[in-house]
Amino acid sequence: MKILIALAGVIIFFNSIALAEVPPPGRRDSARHLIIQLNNNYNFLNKELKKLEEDIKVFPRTTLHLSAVNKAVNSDIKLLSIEAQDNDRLIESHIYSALENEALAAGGRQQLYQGEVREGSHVLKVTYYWTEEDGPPQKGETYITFSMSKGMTYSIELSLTEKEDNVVLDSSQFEFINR
Amino acid sequence: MRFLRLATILLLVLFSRPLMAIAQSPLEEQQYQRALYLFRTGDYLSSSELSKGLLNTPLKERDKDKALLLLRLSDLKMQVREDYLNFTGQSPSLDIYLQSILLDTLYKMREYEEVMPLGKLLNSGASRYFEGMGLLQLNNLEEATVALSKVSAGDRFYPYAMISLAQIEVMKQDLKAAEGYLKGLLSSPSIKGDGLTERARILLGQVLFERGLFPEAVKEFSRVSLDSPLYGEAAIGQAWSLMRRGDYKRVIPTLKLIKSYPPYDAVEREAMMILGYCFLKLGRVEEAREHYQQLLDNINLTEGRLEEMIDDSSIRQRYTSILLEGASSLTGEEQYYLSVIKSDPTISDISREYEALATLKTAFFKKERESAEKEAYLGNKISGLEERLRKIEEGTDRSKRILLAIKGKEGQRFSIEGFDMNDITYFATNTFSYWEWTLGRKVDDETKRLVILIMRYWIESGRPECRNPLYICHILSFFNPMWKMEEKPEEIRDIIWIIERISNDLMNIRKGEKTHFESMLPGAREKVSEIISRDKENIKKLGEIREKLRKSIQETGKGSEESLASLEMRINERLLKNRYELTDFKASITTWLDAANNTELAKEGTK
Repeated sequence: MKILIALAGVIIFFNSIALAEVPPPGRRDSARHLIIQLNNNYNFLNKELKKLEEDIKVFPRTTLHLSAVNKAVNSDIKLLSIEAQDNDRLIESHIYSALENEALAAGGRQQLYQGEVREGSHVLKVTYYWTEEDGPPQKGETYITFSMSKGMTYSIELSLTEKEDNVVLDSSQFEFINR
Repeated sequence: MRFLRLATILLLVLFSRPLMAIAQSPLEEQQYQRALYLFRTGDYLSSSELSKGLLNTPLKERDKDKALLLLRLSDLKMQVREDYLNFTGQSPSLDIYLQSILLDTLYKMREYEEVMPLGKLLNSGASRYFEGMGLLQLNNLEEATVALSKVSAGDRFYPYAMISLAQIEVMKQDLKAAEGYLKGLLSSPSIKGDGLTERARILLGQVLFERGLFPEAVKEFSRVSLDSPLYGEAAIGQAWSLMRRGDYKRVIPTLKLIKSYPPYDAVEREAMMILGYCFLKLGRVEEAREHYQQLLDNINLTEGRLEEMIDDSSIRQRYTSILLEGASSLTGEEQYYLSVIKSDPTISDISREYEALATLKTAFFKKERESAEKEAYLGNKISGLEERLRKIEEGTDRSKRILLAIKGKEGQRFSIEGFDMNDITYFATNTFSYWEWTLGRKVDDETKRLVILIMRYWIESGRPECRNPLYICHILSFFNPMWKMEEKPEEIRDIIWIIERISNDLMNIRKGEKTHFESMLPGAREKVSEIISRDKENIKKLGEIREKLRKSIQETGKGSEESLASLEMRINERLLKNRYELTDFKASITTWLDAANNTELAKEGTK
């Protein structure tokens, strides 16, 4: 309850500051506007200095997670391999064993990659091979674009899925705040 | 037992339904799926840890049960593994087992100089054996004998040591001593039921043959079972021993039992030649002729297949891939040629070299990836700190501008002169007394000026809702007109801090000194630039490391390619050698066939 009240207070407070950013007519209101603006600015600086101190101690990680699941209804569809390139740099490649395919078919999730990446735009190229009932390997490629913000964890799920008489590696994306 | 059965049923029910979402949040669901994957791929420790972690999240009862079951099953699997290890506790301990692997690996790598000191240091049966073998490989027969003799009779390396001691005696031409070692070994309980028995019998047969004790040799060779993979070798020994006694008749059924297939290995070829020779010796010329003709036909067919294999690179690549990666199923022909190929020790060496290079390449790649991640982290940190510092600098500048604007108003609009102070004296006096009591110190005049000014605004704007004038609700409502909270000492301290900061900064501006945040900036800037320059240096170093690693990856990749090429070449050479051996064999068979034909013709001529 207290948190709610505080939150409402903060919203109203900032609203009033936002309103105060446009100087109202009249000299007293203008002076009041300046003091409020200054208070707002001091609060901002205090927070930023605190964050700077924390960042100096431990800078938050900017992490990309890649995981693989098999959502194909046909249990004979198996993953043979996956190769992931982030902005043309090979970050991971994996060849799937029969046991790993069984684990995926049972609803398991394979942690394919987890690592720090630079902030900014990324193009993830995923090349994969799959097979159906020990048939010849089929190749597929998928491109995923995303933007990384500092201190965020970006999670991409790659799922082998049947789509319109074809098998594709679909992707879903989630974003989490690290701090 | 009942629990195990129940757990298995539950496991089947639980894990046969793909992607049954644990349906809490994407993170918890993903964590459960990861734990499941790890459990199914045999990493029970990690699946146990993840499930345990999952139970600490606010899960629904149903989902908690699933996570709990996964945790219990993971722990149970680990317990089973632990029990198994305890059960085998009576076998040589894990340390000895690891020692044996280490010594065996070094021995196979022909690192004899490494094996010997390590063998002395470890002081176990395995270490003595490998020490002796290393000395034997270095042709130090005397010291090898000493080391091998130290392997005690109960040790699992004892039979190997005895066979090696017999080999040393053969090398020293002391056949009687060799016979003694082998007979001693064959009568020892340590060798019973072991595959080594047949190897020891053949060796003993050969020693007896060399000593001219042919009946004893025949007896020893004939003890090797027909089902044994060593039967061919034993049969040849038996055949030679019988031939030395002139008993050609008994040789024929013995050799006919050898299962031989084209293109025939060395043992098979020798057996085939002896068989034909025995037919001729016994005057069974027609049988000899038929035997040689059949062999010749088989060889002609095999020659064609070998030519095809030598010319077709895809067949060689198939054998290369089987050698390096293995295969789930092999045809009979593949099994045969694979054993032919594997019989070349150089091929095994190249395969090991390729595997070592592949392992190195993976390790270099992993290190390169780690370095790239560190570089990305430091890059993000540098730009993050720079951004944060820029924001602080901008905020400080903004504050300075506002303070200057306030200062500009001070003379005219900001002044309290001419204002009727009576209206607020009562509030101000009480407020300052309360503040000073709360803080335990005096509030300076500059701050009082600012507070009175703020109060003036408050009164003028007609906000009498602040019921307790002792407190600071009038100040709080100045900053936020909607403020309804009751004041607390910490809030009072915060607001006084802000007001004092503003008044102090105004005072500093008037004196031409730095504001509070301006004076803090150089320290922050120095700290940040120190970290940034250190991190930039680290990035540079990481760049150099990555460059070296990339080169190493390239080199190992190149090395792997070269190994692969030389492996294919060696396989080709091995097949070619097999082809030449077959040609030689064919020439011998043709000669013997001609001899058989001539004998038959001579026989017919006599008639």
